[in-house]
Formats: sequence, structure tokens, C-alpha cells
Amino acid sequence: MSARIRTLLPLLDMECILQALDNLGERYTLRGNDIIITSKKYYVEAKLSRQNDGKYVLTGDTDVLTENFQKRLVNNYKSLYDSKVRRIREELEKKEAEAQRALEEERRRIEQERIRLQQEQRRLEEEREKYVESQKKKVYEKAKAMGYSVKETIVKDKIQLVLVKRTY
Amino acid sequence: MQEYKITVTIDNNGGIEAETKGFKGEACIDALEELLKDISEIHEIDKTDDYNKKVVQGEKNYITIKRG
Repeated sequence: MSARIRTLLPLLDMECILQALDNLGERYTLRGNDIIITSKKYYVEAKLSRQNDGKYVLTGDTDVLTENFQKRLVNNYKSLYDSKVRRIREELEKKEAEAQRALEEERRRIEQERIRLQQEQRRLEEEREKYVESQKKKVYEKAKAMGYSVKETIVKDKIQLVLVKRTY
Repeated sequence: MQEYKITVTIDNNGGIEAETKGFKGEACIDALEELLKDISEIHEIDKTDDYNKKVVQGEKNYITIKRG
């Protein structure tokens, strides 16, 4: 003979358990790790106790612990639990997309700034080179006009013009 | 034969340093002023015991002149 069994969904999340009890119209109080359910119908107590593995186990009066009650509790819990898991997953996905967008925007902004600074650096460099070249040209032309010969060299990264004039 | 030599050094910012050789007396200053008068403006002249040093500062560059 073979058989197949299925266990009830374990009750793990206290928020969903309490919401399920609310949905079923049950009264309850919290006592440490326990949820004490006071049956309206039979004025007896049942208890949902948190085990070491995190699961809540229902114990108590059998009048309260009817199979119907347990099924209704578990079904309600399952629906709430699934909704909660789905809601958190959706919120997480939204936040991840938001974080990605923010990172992308920041990256774009930094890149634009980098390009702007690069262009500015290039402009300053070109301006400086242009000015140095114009200085050289002015000295060269003036020296020639004054009758000097001009020899250009580079000494320690600087332009050097040696002007020589001889009179007899 | 008389040889007059002016060594003009232009740095990376366009600043100019000029050194003369072979000139007598104030002739070196005259030659440098003639050479550089349209390039920058003279702001002050500083003379030392050993040689005359002329500092010229324009809007954008400076010129140091040494007489040899």
C-alpha cells in the first residue's frame, strides 16, 4: 500500500496570523511568544505557540480546534502570506529599478561634468599654446626688424630665441 | 667687430626672460625696451649692485632682463 500525505501550510509570519484571526473574527491576546485565541462560541481558549523552528503550532481545546477552523485559519493565512510576499517582491523590484535609474542618472551627470571639464582643460591649453606662439612670433619679427639673426631652440621645455647682431 | 647678443626665453605661460651680452652701459636696456616695447608694458625697474635687472609686467606676462 502506498499513500501520499500533505501537511498544512506552516504558520510562520505573526503579522499574517493576526490578520487572519481578525478576518475570521476571532478574539486574541498576545502573551510572550504565544497568541491566545478566546473562542466566542465556546468561551474556551486555544493557543498558537511559536516553536524553536519559528513555526506557530495550534494547541488547545478541541472544540476550538475543529478541522474547519484550522483550514479556515490556514487558508486565510496563506492568502495573506502570499499577498505579503508578492507585495514585498514588487516593492523590492520597484526600488531596485529606482536605484538603477538614480545610478544611471548620476553616472550621466558625472560623465557630462567630466566631458565639460575635459573641454575646458583643452580650451585653456589651446589658449596658452596660442599665446606662447604669439609671443614667440612677436619677438622673432621685432628682432628681425632690428637687424638680429634669430635662432630658435628648446631649453628645459622652454622656447629660447638667441638674437645676434654684428657690427663692423 | 662688435657682437650683440640677446637670449630671450619664453616659458610655458608666455612669460619672458631676456639676457643681454656685449652691450655697453644702458645700451642693453635700450635694446631690450626697443625689442619688447610692443609685447609688454614696463611696470618697474630694479637695479642690483652687480648688474641691472629690469622687471617688466604686462597684463598677461612678466619679463626679467639681465645685463651681462
